[in-house]
Amino acid sequence: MFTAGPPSASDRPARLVAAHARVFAETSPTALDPALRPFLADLVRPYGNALREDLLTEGVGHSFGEMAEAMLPTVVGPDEPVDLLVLAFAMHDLRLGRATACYLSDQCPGAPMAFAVCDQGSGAAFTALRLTESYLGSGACERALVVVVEQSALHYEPGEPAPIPDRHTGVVLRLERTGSPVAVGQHTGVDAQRVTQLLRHDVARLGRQATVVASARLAEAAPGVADVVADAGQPYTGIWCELADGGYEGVVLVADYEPSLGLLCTSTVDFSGNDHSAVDSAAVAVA
Amino acid sequence: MTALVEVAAHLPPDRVSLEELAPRFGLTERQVRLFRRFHGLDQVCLDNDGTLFDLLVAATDGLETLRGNEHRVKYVLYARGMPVAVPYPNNPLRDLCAKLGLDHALSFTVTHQACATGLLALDVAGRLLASDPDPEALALVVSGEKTFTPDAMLVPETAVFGEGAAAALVAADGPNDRVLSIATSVRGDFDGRLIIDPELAARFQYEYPRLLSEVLLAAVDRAGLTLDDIAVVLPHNVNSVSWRRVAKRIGYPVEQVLLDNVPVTGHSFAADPFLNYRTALDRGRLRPGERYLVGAAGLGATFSAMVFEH
Repeated sequence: MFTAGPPSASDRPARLVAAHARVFAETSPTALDPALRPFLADLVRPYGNALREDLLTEGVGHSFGEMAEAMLPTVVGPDEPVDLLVLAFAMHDLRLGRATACYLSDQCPGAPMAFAVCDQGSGAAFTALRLTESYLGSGACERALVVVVEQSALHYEPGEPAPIPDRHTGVVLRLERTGSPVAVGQHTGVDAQRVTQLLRHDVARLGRQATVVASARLAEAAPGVADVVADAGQPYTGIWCELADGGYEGVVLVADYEPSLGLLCTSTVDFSGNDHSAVDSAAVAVA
Repeated sequence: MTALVEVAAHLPPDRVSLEELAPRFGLTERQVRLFRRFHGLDQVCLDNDGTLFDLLVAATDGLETLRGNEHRVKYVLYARGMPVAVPYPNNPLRDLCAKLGLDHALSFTVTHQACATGLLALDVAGRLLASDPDPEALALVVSGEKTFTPDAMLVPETAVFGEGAAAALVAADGPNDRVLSIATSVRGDFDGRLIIDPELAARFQYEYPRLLSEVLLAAVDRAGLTLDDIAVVLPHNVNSVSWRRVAKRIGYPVEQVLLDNVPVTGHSFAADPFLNYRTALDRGRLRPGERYLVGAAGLGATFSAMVFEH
């Protein structure tokens, strides 16, 4: 059971201990669950979206729970209890009615406090990290997982243009009080004209060389800033896959821009092992 | 210390009786009678012609403190019980922020604690505000949902969902309704759809009183108090009988559990704690300095409780 008194300010950064990314090629059995169609029909009815009967018949897509539970043993052992699990996603799950964070708590050592963050596009993963920092940094927990997921099946026509992943991907970040320091910055109210300037400013204020990993969308909005551009087919997990699989040393700044919300997010991870690194002094900013 | 600045409630205009709802849910006459006599339900508030956006706007319309203080709102959180509520990429929260002049705020939804998510949102808002360098910063927490699909209409033999909505302005500190503690138990072993799994539903009903009691007592203990210090319990509006059982189990006077809204509103997802707070305040059930306990449980399952000082 999670218990806490009144929240206090976080006084230290969360630190990244491990990161694991995985692409799931298979389709979830949930894709052929008879409960999927009626729920989808109820979901879209007030908004007039046309169901994709072809995808429903084909049985495509993956469930966040099945993806994430397969990854958990890679980042935590059975004797390493977790205190907090935060799930972040943008496009919804295939298993529509499931409280997947809650389900994952039961699959995770320590049966952690668990919840999900969404309705923020690419910003959700950064917010999940930021909230995790607040729990870790205030002493409310010792070990946390941030799980970022996306799956590629949208069984109806979207009402407006939006990124749709072209594969099923999950990334799990393990955070504790020791490890590589992580800092999150979130700028709100950012129109496209300000993105480049703000991103360059965030890189410059680190005061040292950093590898900038950006989503394809951000790289287009802020040309010439990114050193590494994530796969456009992974709009919500690509940058985190790069962080997990890139084998980086030194300081890495992971960044994304969510134009629908005017939200520019950065997360800086210092792999140099220096406790007094630039990351420690990078304040969270909400403009 | 996280504090409520103001809470506004919105009960939509359509009052629908259990008898009117019965055909939609496939309830028999006996089941309706059971809901009414045993569970203490009578009707639910619905907004038959309104959207989710309409519900959230109506809730925030009642916040007098918000007007003129929009610039202070740095975080907007939607506490949502249902994991999915609108087609992707629709975002009623974004639309709400635009309407209220809160585009500058960091807005996002917290979910996956089902009907206990309202308390989670308050805790998360408090953490963001505690780390914010601006002591004047505010968070807006909104809640309320549409009963759009069977999973969002009925918990078999337990509850009928309604479409009440609420909005709360939260500060990092303040004189009113300060958060003293939170206790949350996440029990993912109750994953599943009770509506189609009678065995799971039976196990959930059997274990529910103990699990809810545990978080209620843990929150009181974490606040350094005993139940004797708790003036009122604000429940979620699932039904009356389960709260009578829980009150008896923990040795708390049931007449101090605010059950006024159970027959009137239906179970309004994550909005219940806020709706009941508003009712308690309006009916003079909270006096300055009194401590009160808020409890909620959500399918999936999550059990949560929070202690406040009024």
